[in-house]
Amino acid sequence: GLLSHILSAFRFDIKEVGLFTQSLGYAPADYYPGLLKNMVLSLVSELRENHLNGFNTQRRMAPERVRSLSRVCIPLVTLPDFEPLVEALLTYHGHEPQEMLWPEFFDAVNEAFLLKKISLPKSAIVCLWLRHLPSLERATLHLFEKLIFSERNSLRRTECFMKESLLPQAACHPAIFRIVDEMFRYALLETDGAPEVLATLQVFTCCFVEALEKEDNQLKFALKTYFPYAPPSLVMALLQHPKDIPQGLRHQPLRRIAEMLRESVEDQTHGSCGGPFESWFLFVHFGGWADTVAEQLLMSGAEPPEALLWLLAFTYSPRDGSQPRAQTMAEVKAVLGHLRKLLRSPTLSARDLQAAAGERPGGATRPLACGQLIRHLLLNFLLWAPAGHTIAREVISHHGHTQEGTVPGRQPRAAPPLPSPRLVLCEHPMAQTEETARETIGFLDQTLDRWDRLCMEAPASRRLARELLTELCTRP
Amino acid sequence: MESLSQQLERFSEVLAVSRTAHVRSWDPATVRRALQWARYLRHVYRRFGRHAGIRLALERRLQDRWRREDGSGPAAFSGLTNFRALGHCDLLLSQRLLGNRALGDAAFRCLLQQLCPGPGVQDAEEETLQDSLALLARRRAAVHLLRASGLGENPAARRDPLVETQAELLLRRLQEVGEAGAEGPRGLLSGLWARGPQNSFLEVIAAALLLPPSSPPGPPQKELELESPQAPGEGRHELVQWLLGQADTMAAFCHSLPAGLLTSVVGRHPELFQVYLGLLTDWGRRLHYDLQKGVWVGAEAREGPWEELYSRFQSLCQAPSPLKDEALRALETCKAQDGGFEAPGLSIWTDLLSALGSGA
Repeated sequence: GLLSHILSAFRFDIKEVGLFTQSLGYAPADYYPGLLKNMVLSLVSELRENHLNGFNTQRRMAPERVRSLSRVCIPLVTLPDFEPLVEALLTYHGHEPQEMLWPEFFDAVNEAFLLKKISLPKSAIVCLWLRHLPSLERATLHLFEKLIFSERNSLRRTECFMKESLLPQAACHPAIFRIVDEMFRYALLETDGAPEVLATLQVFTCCFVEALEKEDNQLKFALKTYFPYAPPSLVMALLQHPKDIPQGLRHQPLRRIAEMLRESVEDQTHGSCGGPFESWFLFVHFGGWADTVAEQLLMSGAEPPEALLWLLAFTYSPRDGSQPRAQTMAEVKAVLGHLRKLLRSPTLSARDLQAAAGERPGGATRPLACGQLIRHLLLNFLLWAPAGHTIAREVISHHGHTQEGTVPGRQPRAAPPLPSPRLVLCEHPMAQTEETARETIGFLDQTLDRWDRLCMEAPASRRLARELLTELCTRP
Repeated sequence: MESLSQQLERFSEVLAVSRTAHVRSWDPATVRRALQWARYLRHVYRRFGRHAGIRLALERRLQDRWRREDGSGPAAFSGLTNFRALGHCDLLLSQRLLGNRALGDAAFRCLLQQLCPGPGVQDAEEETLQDSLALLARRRAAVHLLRASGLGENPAARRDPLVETQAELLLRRLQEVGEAGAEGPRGLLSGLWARGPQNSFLEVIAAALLLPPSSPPGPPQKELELESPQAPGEGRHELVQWLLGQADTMAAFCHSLPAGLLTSVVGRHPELFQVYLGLLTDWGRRLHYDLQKGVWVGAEAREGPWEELYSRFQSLCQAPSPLKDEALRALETCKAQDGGFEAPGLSIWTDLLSALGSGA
């Protein structure tokens, strides 16, 4: 059946062209590509003229003709010769109120784009997604499948996939941004804030902000259109690059961000819209700020500022009420006190770390999120404290065997914001599962990436992080 | 070298036969051998593509053969017209065999096996053949699909893809034969003119003269690096020269094509413009005034009527200068030669000028 169809393509010919070509000494193989190219160009210019002529009804392409053209193209979109025509159809807007093109045409183009069987300019893809919502959803899901639910990707690769998907660039159009963002929101809710989803959201935001800056100097759309429910001053503060602020001063904007967030969270408890989740969701978009809180707390010599303690506690478990949050803040404060003492001590052992992290009145277990937060602090400590470098290796490589049990090295950097079934006890954190190893890898990867973006000078810490990362990644 | 030429000769014969009913007698072994031969020649093409001497010698041989074939009717065409064609002679052969219903069942099955040996069997080269066949089949199917859906031609279009494609091929061929000898293009064009149909050939010529010089004629080839450097517009130049040397053809060209098209062509090629103006004034001189009907008519039926002549001048006058200025100056000169009368019906030039003046 199919074969005979294919063969029949070799058996008919166009008489008028065929004869002339033959008398030139050419075979059909010589004229078909050129003929197709010319037919496509002629249709493209017909569409373009149509576009330019506007209401000049005489030269307008009948809507039925456009519609049937899009239908004929469905099986042909992957033919390279058709790229200009597909582009012209996508960017063509007729004068009819309703959509002229066949829905299956959009599906076919979108599928071809996702499978890289067609290459189209960004503008055409934006038109496709604006005109056909299912295609945009499909493209976003495709990205999720590729980045979140498959093999772990390094952040660099994630970023490449992300840019290749054109989603961040297309998101400069607020309608597209809102849809993609909404899908991220649901993915976070459905996965209980899985670190992979969070990391992907942060890469998306990063690429989006980059694209937005490139797009146009005088922002075509107000920021309000992208984040309609957030206070504009908070969005402005979050959009600042940490890189543009000297390292020693970064805690200032961070403190302001914390205060604004706290205000809106506590305000929301009095019945305003959104709830703490919305504030948290906004904040975690910006990995450059969110991931830096623990580091800032650890590095600041002074008494830890209340605002940053609140922000850290909030980041890790946004749904806590004020009582548990105050408790978390107190614990973090205590651990920080111990760690700062250790920072000054010339020698350090894994046992010391355990002591710093593990003390809890009455030996009670910490809530999951709090445990993760503490381990996150310890991991930061290992990377920054000169003495930490010597034991980090031991801690990481002997994970699961040390009786001391501190093994803080395998923490998720990220913050499951919601109560999660993954219960890892801080007192016995060496229950080194595949999952926690993966999360440690994620932490190191993200930290290195953040340092790169900040152009951070920290050769020793970088080397250590890179070595630990390689070691964990090559471990069977 | 001599044996290579002979092999080329023999393979051309195989190719010529491949599209005839003679393939009825081919068995699977013949098909296999023919394909092997094609692969070998493609190999030759790759190997000697950069070797100017061998390339030129083979090119000459193919051109000679093509000239000989030219007389023997379309059935005998091998399709190997130039050295570049060797690069896809396996594609040419398989394509013809696939489309030839005379090929026996066993031979046809063997052909399919050769073309689609299944996964893992083919080497990289086979894959290219299979891919190019598939691409070609898809393109052909696409062309037919567009035409079958009534999208093949655009009723309001100024450019007809069919004519434009023929024009591109014509220029490409002109350039190829031009490389092999100065007499080539002339012979080719005269042959095509004699073979007809002449009207559509004129349309193709006009389209060729209008193709933008920036686009190299012909579809992009895969193995570009082996292509001869294209001198853009060289084929066009040959075409203009040939037209200028062919009074009959030029006259038919100016009489039968639409006025707007002619204006664009002569606007692009000033050499043709002078001849065109001359032809138009001759045309005007041959018309006489029919007192009873009050119109200018031709002595013979084949002379175009007044309206046609008027539309040509009108189109010229709507074009930017120098076309407009020169056309008006020619009309003024003729009018003065006729005595410079202002009354209608005495001189066709006076009438043309006043019609143009009131029409403008």
